[in-house]
Order: sequence, then structure tokens, then C-alpha cells
Amino acid sequence: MTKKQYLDELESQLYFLDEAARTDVLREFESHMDDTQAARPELDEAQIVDRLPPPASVAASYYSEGAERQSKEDERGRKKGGFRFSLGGMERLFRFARRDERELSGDDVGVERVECTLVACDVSAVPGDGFSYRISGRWDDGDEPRITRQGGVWKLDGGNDADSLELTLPPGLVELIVSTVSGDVNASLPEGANMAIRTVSGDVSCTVAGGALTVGTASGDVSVKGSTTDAEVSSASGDLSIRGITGRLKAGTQSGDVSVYCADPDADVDASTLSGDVSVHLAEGSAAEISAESVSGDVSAPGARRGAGLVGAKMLREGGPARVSAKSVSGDVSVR
Amino acid sequence: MPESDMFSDDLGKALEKWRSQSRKGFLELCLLACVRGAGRSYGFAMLDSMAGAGLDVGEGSLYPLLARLVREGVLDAAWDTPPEGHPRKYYKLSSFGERYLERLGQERDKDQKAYKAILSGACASSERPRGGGGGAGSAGGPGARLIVNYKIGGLE
Repeated sequence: MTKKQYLDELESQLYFLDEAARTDVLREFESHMDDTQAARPELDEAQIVDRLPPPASVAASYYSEGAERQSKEDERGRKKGGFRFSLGGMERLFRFARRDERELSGDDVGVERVECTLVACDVSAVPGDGFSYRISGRWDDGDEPRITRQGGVWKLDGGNDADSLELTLPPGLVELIVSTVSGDVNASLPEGANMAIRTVSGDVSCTVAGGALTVGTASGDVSVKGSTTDAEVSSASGDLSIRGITGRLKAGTQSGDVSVYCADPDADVDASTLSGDVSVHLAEGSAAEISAESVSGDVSAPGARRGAGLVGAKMLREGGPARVSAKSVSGDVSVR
Repeated sequence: MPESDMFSDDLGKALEKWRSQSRKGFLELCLLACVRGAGRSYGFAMLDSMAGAGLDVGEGSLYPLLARLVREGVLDAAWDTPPEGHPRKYYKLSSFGERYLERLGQERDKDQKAYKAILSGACASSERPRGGGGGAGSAGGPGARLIVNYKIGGLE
């Protein structure tokens, strides 16, 4: 990645900041790269960029520092016995109150890939005969959602003021990509379509018809239905519920529960959490190889033998080609 | 082999989680102390000097944290271009920041003393008399000595 590519990517990931703040962050990262170059002249541009964390994680960190600040301000206000608005919050409130609900809608043909970048906007998507969209919110002139089209790729940047997006997805869609900060995503995909979703605090609920799926959230819950060929679902504190896995699944959370129902005897499942419970229901007739472990919780896996461990409980069963690995540190683990 | 793998894997994850929880406030304290030590400093130099002190901080943590501290009025920031070099964003403590850092240091010292007292048995002393055993009631037992230590710690 070049410096410019890194900064461009960072710019698009920092969409929740206002323009001035965003420019300041970009200048500072550019200055940092110049400092790295001066201190380590033997490094080339790509190596300097490689030393930096991915733009998405830098942006997530700016986001969480901002959210933290807001709650501290509220706390200070309460401690003083009064109620204090931040100026920005007040301005936003008034702007919001005086604006009317607006809407943009349309349809298109030949759409193969849909990419949506949103802040607090909820998304719902259903399969249909063709592609269409309807987005509503309270935006000023000049701040309306931006829609661009390049070949088969349809892109929507919802801006800060969109509230809700409804999509109808065409048959033959290759991929739906959604990135939101606090909006919920509720999507049902056409056959074979893939989906990638990233949210900070939104919940995700989706029905997949044979495509691949990637979902990442910080605190949202994730619920997946239908059949997925290859799925990777992760969350920091959300619960994960996956029904109908037919291929490979990797589901990981830190403090949430993980619940998986396999639809296919040959499913390959990797489910883990730190402090929640894990339960995996195998498909009927599955002869999966099982490894179920917990450091301080209970482990149950009928038909499996107890494995010797340094700490905690572990159940093992040989088999295959299907494979199930289920792990928790302090929660209970069950495979049945 | 898989057992020990699992153990080290999970231990690593648990440690990672604990670190991220415990480090946030500590990092803020170190960062402010670093800025005070330098008088005025910029991101790259802070990372460099903290790494030199043995504290590895990532750019992804540092810059967002600096931005928040500026918003909260703890740090003042200004862009400046040194005679030889490129523009840099320089940070220094505000007068509120000076007072804030002083208090943070005191809080940290207090916590550190409490932790030391616990390590040297301040908690064990409350359990031991209930357990009974031979020397119950003897005022010269290890528990009594540790309470004294703890009190001295608290007075400093």
C-alpha cells in the first residue's frame, strides 16, 4: 500500500468525523510517516505504511475515544447537579428538529455489487426481480446521500443524516457490502450472493442463500439464517446465533454466547468465546471430529471421551471429514 | 500437546483482554507524564521515547487518545513547522492538564501501595483467624505484621 492509498482509505473510514477533524487526523498521520521516514531512511514507502495499523482499526479507535468522551461529559454534567449539552450536540439537535424528512429512491439494471457506507442508518434488504433503493433521512442541501455507479458496482455514501435504507437486491447479485456505525442491518440475500457487514454497535440479522458471509461487530448481536458456504462472524461483546451452516464457519466473540446449528453433516465449525457459553448442534448423522474445551466451565459432548488437560475440561471424538471445535474460557461448552 | 496449546492460546487471549482493560488509564497517565517531561512533544517522538522506556504503544492507540485529551482540555495542540523539517502537531499540557496529571499520579501511587499490601498478605490476614488452627489468637502472627505494613503504606 502506498502512503496515498493508506491516507485515502483512512479518510473514507473516518466518515463519522467532521471535515476539519478528519483533515487534521490525515495531516497528523502524514506527518507521522514523514517522521518515520526521517528516522528510518532505509525503509521504503510500503514498509513505512506496513508499520501502521490498518485504517479501519485506527478509525474504530477514534470512534471509541469519541464515544467515551460523550459519556464523560454527561457524567460531569450530572455531578455538577445540572444538565450540560455539548455545543456540537445542541447544534445537531436543533438542526435535526428543524429539518424535514426527505427521501431519495430509484432503480437500476446490471448491478452486481452494492456497497453502502452509513453512520446511524438502519438497512433492510430483500431479494427481488431487479435492483432498487429508497433512502430517507433529514439532510440539508449539499449533505444528501451520494450515490455513484461504476460498471456493475453501485455505491452509496449515506452521510451523517440518513435514517433508513431499503434495498431490493437483483438475482445474480455478487456481493452486498454494508458498513455502519450504529445502524442495524436486516438483510435477506438472493441465491448465491455474498455479504460483508461491519458495524460498531448495530445488530445484524441476515438470511443467506448459499453465498459466503463475513460479519464483524463490536457490540452488536448477530443472527444468521439460511445456508452459508463459508462464514466468518466475529464480535467483541455481542451474542452470535447461526442457524443452518453448510460449509465452513468461524464464529468468535469475547463476552457473548455462541449458538450454532449445522444443517449439513459435513460442516466445519470453529466456535469460541472467552466468557460466554458455546453450544453447537450437529446435523443428524454427522460423524464429525469433535474437540470441546473450557477452562472453568462445564463441557458436554455425548459420545466423546474426556481428554486429559492441564487445566479445565476437554472432550474429544475422532471422526471426519466434518470437524467441530468449540471453546470457552469461563463459559459452558456443549456439542450435541 | 493440544492441551498445552489450548492453555497457552486461551491464556494469551485472557491476558490480551486484561491488558486492554487495565492499560487504558495507565497509558493516559504515561502519555501525560511523557508530554510533561518533554515540555512539548509530537506523536512520533512520544512513541519513540515511551518505547525507549519499555512501553510499546501503537499509533492506533496514541493519536485517538491525544485527540480526546485535546477535546477534554487536558492537552493543548498546535501545528508548527520546525526550521528543518515538515509540519508537526505539537502537544503540551494545559494548566488544567498539569493539575490533572498531578492527581492521576497520586491515584496511581495509592493503587500501587494497595496492590503491594495485598501481595504481602493483607487479604490472607482476614482469612487466617477464621481458619482456626494451632496458633489462633496469637497477636504476633504473620497477619498482624502485614496489617501494620499496610497502615504504614497508607500513611506515606
